[in-house]
Order: sequence, then structure tokens, then C-alpha cells
Amino acid sequence: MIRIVSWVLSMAAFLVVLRISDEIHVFVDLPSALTSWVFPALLLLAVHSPGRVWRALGDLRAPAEAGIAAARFREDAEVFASFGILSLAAGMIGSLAGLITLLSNLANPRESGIYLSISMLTVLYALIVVIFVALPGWRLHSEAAKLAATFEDPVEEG
Amino acid sequence: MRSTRVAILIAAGVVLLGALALLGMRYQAVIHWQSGLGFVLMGLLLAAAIPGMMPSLRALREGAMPSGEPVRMEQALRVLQTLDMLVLGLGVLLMSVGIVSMFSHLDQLGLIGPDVATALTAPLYALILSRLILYPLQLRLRGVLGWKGASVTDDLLYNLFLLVFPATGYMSVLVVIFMIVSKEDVR
Repeated sequence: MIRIVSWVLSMAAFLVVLRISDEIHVFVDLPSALTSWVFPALLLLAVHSPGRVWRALGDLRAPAEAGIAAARFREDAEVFASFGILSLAAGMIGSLAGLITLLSNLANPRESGIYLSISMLTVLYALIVVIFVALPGWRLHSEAAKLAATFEDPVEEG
Repeated sequence: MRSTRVAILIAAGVVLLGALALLGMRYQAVIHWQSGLGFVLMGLLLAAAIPGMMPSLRALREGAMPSGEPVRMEQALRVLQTLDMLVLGLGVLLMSVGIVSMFSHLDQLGLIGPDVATALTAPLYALILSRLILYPLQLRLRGVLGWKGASVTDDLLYNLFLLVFPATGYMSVLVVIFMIVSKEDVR
């Protein structure tokens, strides 16, 4: 419960930081969200299968002592880790593509600012995924896997 | 099941290309034959030299369609991990070539743009090949093998620090260069 509250508060703090630093609409961009959120999510579903992804999300609510095998928690952790990795890669691809377009279009310096901010936004969106979704999910499942392993084989772990 | 995966994969490709088009990306700007040719040629030669051409092809096939034989899959996984590191290293190497070339043209500011574009396309190709092709193949094999044999490139924190720190530093350099070019333009 404390973890969920902390997670929600950290999201709220992030929104406050965005609001203080500039107008919030500057940070809202649909193509960047498609690149850094929707594309990696679809790739994740294709690589891991939709059933495994839903199970990894559902297991977030399961305590380590619920009788779930450690191997399953490890698999869930891999799902979250790969989501973060794919999201970072997609963000960087969007960013590089934006910068290449910017540099091939140096003749119009007025448009360059827009390209520059958009190319940074894909990385920002990817970092949001990593910090608020992938890292917490990966960490929770890794911890649960360790704990479940001690229940499975207390002599070996202890 | 297989057709569902293929359909999702196609949808993912459409979303990425559509989003990049919405971001204003010009595809002809991304296709840079010098870095593309250098990347493909060096990649093929290094793949033939380090894991070997036939083991590389076998590993790619094994990743796409796992045979279910643990020994073959473990071998394929190791080859794919080597190829992954190789591709990422090659991207950084060609990017460095572009940066050096860019700095040698600092007295002719008009030539900086194409040099930086050369320096950016190599890591772009490396990222696409490494993270969108080789990494999913490794994930499939590792999934069948029970998530054994993770390499350093499978680590989330490694990816965070590998990608984000160099990228932000690199982009800051680009912004500074862009400001210099813009000021020269105004003068």
C-alpha cells in the first residue's frame, strides 16, 4: 500500500515539476507517445505473447508468499525489463530520426527549434516509461522471485 | 498464435513508421548510403570473422523459429549476443568517424550538417538492428530456455546508462553547434 501511494505521489510530483518548469502543453505530443509507448508495447506483445504480458501485470498484486513459482516471477521481471529496453530504444530511434531531419533541413532555422524539442520528447517519454513503469515492475518481480525462491527451497537459500 | 504475433508485429511497424512521419521525419534524410554501406560491409565482414557467417545465419533462423533443442538454442543465443554487441560497437565506431569529420570542418560551417547527419545515421541503423531485431530474437530464445543466459545488454540499467547518458551529451553538443551555425547565418 505504501509503495502504491509513493508511486502515485512521485507521478504527481513529476507533473508539478513539469507545470513549474514550463507550460504543460509543451510536453504533450501524440507522435512521441506513439513512438515511445505504443510501439514498444506492441513489440512487447509480439515478442512475449499477450497472455504472458497480462499475467506479468496481474502478478504485480500477488504477494511473494502466494504460492507462485519463483521462475514465474523471474519471467514477469523479464517482461518489464524488456518493455523498458524496447521503449528506450524506440525513444532513441525517434530522437535520432528527428535530429537527422533537423540537420538535413538547416536552411530553415526557424523550424529547427520544433524538431529539436520533438526529438527530445521521444527520449523524455521513454524515460517516463522506464522510471514509472519498467523499473518498479522489474524490481517488484525480482524481489518477489527471490522471496518465492526462499519459500521453495529454504535450505539452499538460507 | 503465430499469426497473432505476426499481426501485432506488423501493427507495431505501422505505428512506428506512422509516428515518425507525424514527427516530420523525411525518410530520404535517414537513408544515407555512405554510412549504410559502411555499416553493412563492416558488419558482414566482422560477423564472418567473429562468430562465423554460417553460425550467424543459423542463430538468426533459430531465434526466429526455435527448434526446441537446448544445446542448439544456447549456441544460437551466444552468437546473437555477440552479434548484438558487435552491431552496437560498430554504430559507436561509425558515429565517432562522423564526429571527427565534423570537427575537421569547423572552419567551413556549411559542411557541418551533412557530417553530423552521417554521424547520426550509423547509431540509428545500429539501434534498429540491435534493439528491434536481434534483441527480440534473443528474448524468444531466452524465454524458451527458461530465461537463462542473460548478457549485459539484457540489463535494463545498462541500457539506461548506455543510451541516455551518451545521447544527452551528444545532443547537447549538437545544440551548441546548431546555435553557432544559426548565429553565423544571422551575421
